[in-house]
Amino acid sequence: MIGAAGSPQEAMILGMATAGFLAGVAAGLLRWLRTGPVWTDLLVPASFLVAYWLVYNKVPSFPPIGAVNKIFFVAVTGTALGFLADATGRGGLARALVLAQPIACAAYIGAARLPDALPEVVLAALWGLLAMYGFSGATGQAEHESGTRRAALLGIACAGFAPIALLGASSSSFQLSLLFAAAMVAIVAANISNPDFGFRSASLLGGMGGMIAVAQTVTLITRKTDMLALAVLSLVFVASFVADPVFRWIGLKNKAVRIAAFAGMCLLPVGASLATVIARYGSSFPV
Amino acid sequence: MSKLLRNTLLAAMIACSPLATERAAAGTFDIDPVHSGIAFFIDHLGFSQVIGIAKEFSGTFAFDAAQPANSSLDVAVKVAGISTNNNQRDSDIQGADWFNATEFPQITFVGREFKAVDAKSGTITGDLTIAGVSKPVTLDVTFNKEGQNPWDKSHVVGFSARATIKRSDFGMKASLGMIGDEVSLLIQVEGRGRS
Repeated sequence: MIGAAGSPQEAMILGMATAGFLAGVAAGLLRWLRTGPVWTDLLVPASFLVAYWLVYNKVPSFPPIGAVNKIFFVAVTGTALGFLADATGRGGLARALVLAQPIACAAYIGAARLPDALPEVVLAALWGLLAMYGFSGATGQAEHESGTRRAALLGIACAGFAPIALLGASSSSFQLSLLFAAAMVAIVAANISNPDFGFRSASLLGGMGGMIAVAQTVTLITRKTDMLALAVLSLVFVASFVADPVFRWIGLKNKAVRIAAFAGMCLLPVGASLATVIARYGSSFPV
Repeated sequence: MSKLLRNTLLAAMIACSPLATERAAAGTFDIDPVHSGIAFFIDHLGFSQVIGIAKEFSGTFAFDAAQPANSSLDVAVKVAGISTNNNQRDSDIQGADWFNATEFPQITFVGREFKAVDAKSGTITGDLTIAGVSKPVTLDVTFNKEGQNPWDKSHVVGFSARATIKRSDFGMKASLGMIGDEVSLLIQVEGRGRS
């Protein structure tokens, strides 16, 4: 990807355009075919895996060597388990998997640091659990727009994590976050008025779970994450619980406007996180 | 007993003694970090070659000038000790995108095949392991000198070696296109014989 571009900035834009275009085409195709939520649920994790491939130019061999390669299999396994759980109608199992995954993922990604750094791994697991819990609550009481809300929230959270990853000395995670965010924008745009768009267990485990694995890798393995900025960014998941009461209070009814307003609420902690990063690192911020 | 027979028996006894056996086998040397160095060169946007060095490494090798194929080589480089003359970059390359020091704190090289090209040069092919990925790498080696160190009378042998590897072969694909894929290695080794 970078080889086709004249500069790092061009490479990034080209990568985001590619990820967004592929996600948009796939989303449009599935909508046109009216495949329903079971199959559209695969859009998000597939976009994550495509973004991973665009950034790392590889499908890792199995068993994976190192945390970066483990991320790929966390996403693949999550997608498969989520899809199967939903396809067989095992909602309880799906919910259990969604909450268990961030904990298992922290132990898997941080295995090299156990037992010496057990408190850090436990903290990473707890953060992942809370992030996933908050994120999966993004449905609110508006079930019909839960898919697009979740996709919008995930895209915004990824864009917010990108500067933290860059500052955390992981340019690959920075690229992956932005490419995946671009794919989420395309998916939301293609499905904003699609009631059949599904952001279910496969998307939660493969998409959100994959990004949690990325954050845990930067935090536990590269170990240069700005924890304050990450904590501020994590407030993005609180928006899920605040949005509906606010929308009811102001009487917001139009779906597209509600989703745009939801995205605006999510952008507040992202902006605060970015400001935190810039304020703390100033001129040394590696732009 | 004739003089010839006596000399023959004496020669046979010397040849069978442990001392003779030790001299016939390859000598074992410890890499002297004070007089050895590992440097690498990597392209930056085509403008320059950034120079890095390994500050902490250790290893042993066995060397037999008469029979190079009997040699051996084991080297370990501490990833935390890699320096490129910039603290920010040195910290960054420890991360998961690069050397991944947390999971793979050491780079190792184990020599497998030793070939002499002529009296002064040869090749060592071995397994280089970086960030958990092992690949065969061939070093072009120049034999510099073997002899006694005049200061402490230790037995010393010295080599120079060069190799070129691709970092992408070891899973390090970050910033390809901006930072070169090919990495040139320049190695100077002085080994002190074990007494």
